[in-house]
Amino acid sequence: MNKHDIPEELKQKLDEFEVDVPDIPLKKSLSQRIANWLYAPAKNPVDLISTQWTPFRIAMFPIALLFLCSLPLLLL
Amino acid sequence: MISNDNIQVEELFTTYHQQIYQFIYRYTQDEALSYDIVQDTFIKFQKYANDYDSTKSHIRTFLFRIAYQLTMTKLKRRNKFKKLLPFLYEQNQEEPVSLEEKITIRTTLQQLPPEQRAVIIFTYYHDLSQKEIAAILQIPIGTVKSRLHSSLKKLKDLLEVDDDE
Repeated sequence: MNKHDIPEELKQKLDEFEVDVPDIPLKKSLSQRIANWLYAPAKNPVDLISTQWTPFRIAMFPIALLFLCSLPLLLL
Repeated sequence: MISNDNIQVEELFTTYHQQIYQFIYRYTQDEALSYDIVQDTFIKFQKYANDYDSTKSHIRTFLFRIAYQLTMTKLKRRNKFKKLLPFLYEQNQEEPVSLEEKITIRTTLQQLPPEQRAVIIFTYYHDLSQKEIAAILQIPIGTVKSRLHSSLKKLKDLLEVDDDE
């Protein structure tokens, strides 16, 4: 089985997924590396406050905070 | 002074970076991650260029293999972070998905198991042979065949496509 054995209707659907390639430089700058490492879809802080704070989450919060604060030391 | 190695890497980057980006983007649907992995692939290629044997595989296969391994490593690392610090990540699964969105090819590809998704992307969008896919994913050709068969069946079911083979 190969590409040519795929039904025509399915091929049309697959063709709908087009990808635009951005301009990508070969070399990575240090600032870009840091920015990419830090990148993550940011959550709305209001949503964070409004989520239910279970006892487990409250107990885990200082541990998570400590872990976050120590990340720069761990990665040095 | 620019060495021959640098010139070769630049040529390879010009030829293959778009294909690699398209594969990673279709696989992860994450723009920043795809961008990052494309650059890392060529950085890693420079490091391991001596391991490449042109008699065994095409350079495209070698580059795709590096890109695939980097993708797996980064996704595993991200999943570990998600488990450790779930509140730092968006809860995408809680967002309502419309019926139209459910039947788009993007959403459907994401519903495939990762190993099946890679096989269908390499087969359809990159026109790679089963032998090349087996070399990239480091699996037997028989497994590629069965994953391709399963992924096509699942795609047809999810997209409600008639089987007119």
